[in-house]
Amino acid sequence: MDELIRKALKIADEVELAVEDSRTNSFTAFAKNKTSLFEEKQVYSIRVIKDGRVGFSRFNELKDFDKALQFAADDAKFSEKLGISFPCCSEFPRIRGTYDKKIEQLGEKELAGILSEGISRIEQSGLSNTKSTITSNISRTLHLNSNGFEGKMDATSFSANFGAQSGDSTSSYWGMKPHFFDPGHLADKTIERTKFSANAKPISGGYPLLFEDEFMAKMMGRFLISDICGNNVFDKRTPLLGKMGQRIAPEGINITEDPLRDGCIASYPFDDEGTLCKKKAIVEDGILNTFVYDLKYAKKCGAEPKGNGFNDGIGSRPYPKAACNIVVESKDRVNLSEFTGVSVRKVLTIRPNRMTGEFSTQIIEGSLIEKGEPIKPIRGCLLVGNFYEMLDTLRLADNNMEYGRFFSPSWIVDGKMV
Amino acid sequence: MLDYLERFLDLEADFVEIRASSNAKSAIAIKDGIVDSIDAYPSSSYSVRVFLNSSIGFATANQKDKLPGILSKAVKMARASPKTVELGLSEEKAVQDRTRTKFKTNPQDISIDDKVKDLMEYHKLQRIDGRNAGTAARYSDFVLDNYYLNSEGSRIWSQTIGETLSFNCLSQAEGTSQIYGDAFGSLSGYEFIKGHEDKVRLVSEKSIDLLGSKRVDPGEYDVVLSPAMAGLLAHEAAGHASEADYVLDDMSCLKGKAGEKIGSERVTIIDDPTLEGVWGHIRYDDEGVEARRKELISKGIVNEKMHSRETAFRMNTASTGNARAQGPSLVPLVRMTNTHFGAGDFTDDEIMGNEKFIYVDQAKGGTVSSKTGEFQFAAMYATLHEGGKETVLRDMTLAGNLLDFLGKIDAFGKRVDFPMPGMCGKGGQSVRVGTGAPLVRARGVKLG
Repeated sequence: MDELIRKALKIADEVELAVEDSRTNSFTAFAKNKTSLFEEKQVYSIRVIKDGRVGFSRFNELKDFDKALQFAADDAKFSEKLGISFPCCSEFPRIRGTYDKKIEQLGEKELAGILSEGISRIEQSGLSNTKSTITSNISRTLHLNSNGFEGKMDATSFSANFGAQSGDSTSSYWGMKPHFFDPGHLADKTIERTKFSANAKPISGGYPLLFEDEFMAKMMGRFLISDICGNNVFDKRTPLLGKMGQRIAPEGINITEDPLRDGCIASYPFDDEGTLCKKKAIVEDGILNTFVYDLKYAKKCGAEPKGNGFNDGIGSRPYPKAACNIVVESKDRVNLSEFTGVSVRKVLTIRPNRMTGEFSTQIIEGSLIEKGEPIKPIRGCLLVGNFYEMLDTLRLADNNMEYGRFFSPSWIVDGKMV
Repeated sequence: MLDYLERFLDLEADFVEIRASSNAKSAIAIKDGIVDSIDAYPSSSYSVRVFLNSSIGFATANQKDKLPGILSKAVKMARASPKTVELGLSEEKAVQDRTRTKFKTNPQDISIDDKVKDLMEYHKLQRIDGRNAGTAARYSDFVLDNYYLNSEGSRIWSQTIGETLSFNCLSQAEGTSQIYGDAFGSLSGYEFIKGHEDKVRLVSEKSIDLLGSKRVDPGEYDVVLSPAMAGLLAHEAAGHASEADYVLDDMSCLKGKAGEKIGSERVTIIDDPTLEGVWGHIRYDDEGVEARRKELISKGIVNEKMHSRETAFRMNTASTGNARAQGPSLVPLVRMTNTHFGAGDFTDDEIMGNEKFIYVDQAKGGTVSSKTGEFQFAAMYATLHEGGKETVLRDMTLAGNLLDFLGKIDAFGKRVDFPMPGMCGKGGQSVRVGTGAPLVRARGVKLG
């Protein structure tokens, strides 16, 4: 790697090189049809700075290094002169629980056995499997730049997804952690949800809504977490433009990005540009507190980068992204046993208006709740509204949920179904 | 490359298949007059799939020297897979062929400087007045070489070349902001880049129109669907339900309905990989089978299913050449190619002649539950036509169920268009697909 950096420095002022080695083992069963996948990948990325301009490229095989270096130089030649410099920090906070040796040791037979066990639970309950998957992944990343930054990260993940059906009723449940876990409870949750969802019907009218784990994570990801990204702010493509320091949620609501949380799937000491990751309040006491930036957009917007330059894998260039753990909290909680309204678990898809926060989406799994008890399943109705108008009415329930990198109680908001 | 890969077919398995690709891509993005990024990179991928005692093992790597190592891993994965159903492949003839996209100019022969210059010319057309507050243009191309070999004697090299152009525009006035975008694409050479000026200007005009738009009052309306919207419907609702893996896994609302009438005689839905130049065209699928045209719904009657060799084996039929993967690193699944409604005999004036209807123009995407047939399509631009007046509508969702919806269609236009280069997601993979249709009229459709 040092040699490659030296070679690149012959045509560039600064160089950044990253390499990720990953191994994935996955077993999937579509109904009764089982298939397996083993993937071994090594991906390199290179960024160069020449005369204050940044260029990017990637390659898989070392023989392609010269070609990729030329592509990166071409990119730099056309890019905006921003005067960016790669960071040189060398000390990072230690995060525990992002690597589990057990996952590295899991053999093919063990993984296949875990999948079979989950499917047996589904079938023994009288349901049939739709699509279930068990996946283990080990990734080792080395990130260097010519300013002296050297970051290494070993990470593991174990994920399970179980899907079941009975007649027209289907459901699924997913979980992912950096350490090995027994996924039996995910199969049980799938069974419970599938059985409850039989003969679901649409409803219409205005109801208090309860956002359950998957839907809460989806809404956060589609709206708030995307709308605070520095590129959208700079390009004026966010409904949050001009809202900094203003109230966007009720008093007492705090939404935090926490990259340093131990044992979580989205914990990082540094981002994909080598900037130190910092915990930050996105919404503090209901007030919008920060946007997030990579080096490029921090420069363009005159902001301080706080470790939000993330890529979608080493093979893609970094951009502003709140990619770490998101934690939602408030002092006041609503007693779930008092809640009457509609709970939403799954929708078909959400395609929002990027400028207003408006959306409409079809509910495919939900339930009518009376005094905290689900009384009948619903599906097939359109949920119509505006995310930010809903956020304005947000109250948090007295439970705690975890869905991937999202940690939040259930959301209670006002909504309308047609 | 085929000769090099040949040596790895000698494995202890009932069937061995090796796929490899090398892909040269470039993409240019321009935002508000400034080149935002130029992405160019080489990539390669290798995989082996084995069948062993009715189990499948699949292993992949992205470096040539890792190929020998993943061969034994594929066999191990097959041995670890518990046998649940009898897996196998339908009998197909071995193919030896070399095939490539027809083109005049290879995009790799055009310098980045010239590509930037050509895109910038289009970008300059995007700002038609002061309300266009932000404009973005993007060009991308790829030259993909695929290699396919199997232990039955198939040896195929195919080269696919394609380009896309996409534009979007943010308009602002009196405290309101709206975005509109469109994309065009073709499987051809760099000659595709010419002649899109009017379409580029239209994107900016429509983003301005949206500033004065309203949201639809939720309810039921007579609608006319544009080729983009109707094509998406053909793909999402009828196409996915006609994929044989969904049928076998009891995840299709068309399961058990073969020969049943589910729409009027006017309704025919086709999957046609043979349409050269259209975005979803393939000559051979990723199991080395020649891809062929199929009528999924024929004159309102549920007709053919799309098959891979795996699903064809399980249903005791022949593959239709619909096994496709995003690349060699992923397992082929049953996928569509160019899916479209067949043409009818109505003129545009006849279809748009009602006193009140909504013309649903630009699609923003769609999703379907293939099991139940429930679908949801988002449109970013539509117009309400009422009493001779036209009102622009934004962000509406068209929702329904395939089995009801096809019965609501009562008119098709004469000309089938394939307006957008689509990407279809399934099983974590994304493949290019064409979606098309003529103008389509339907009665009493739920909008929100």
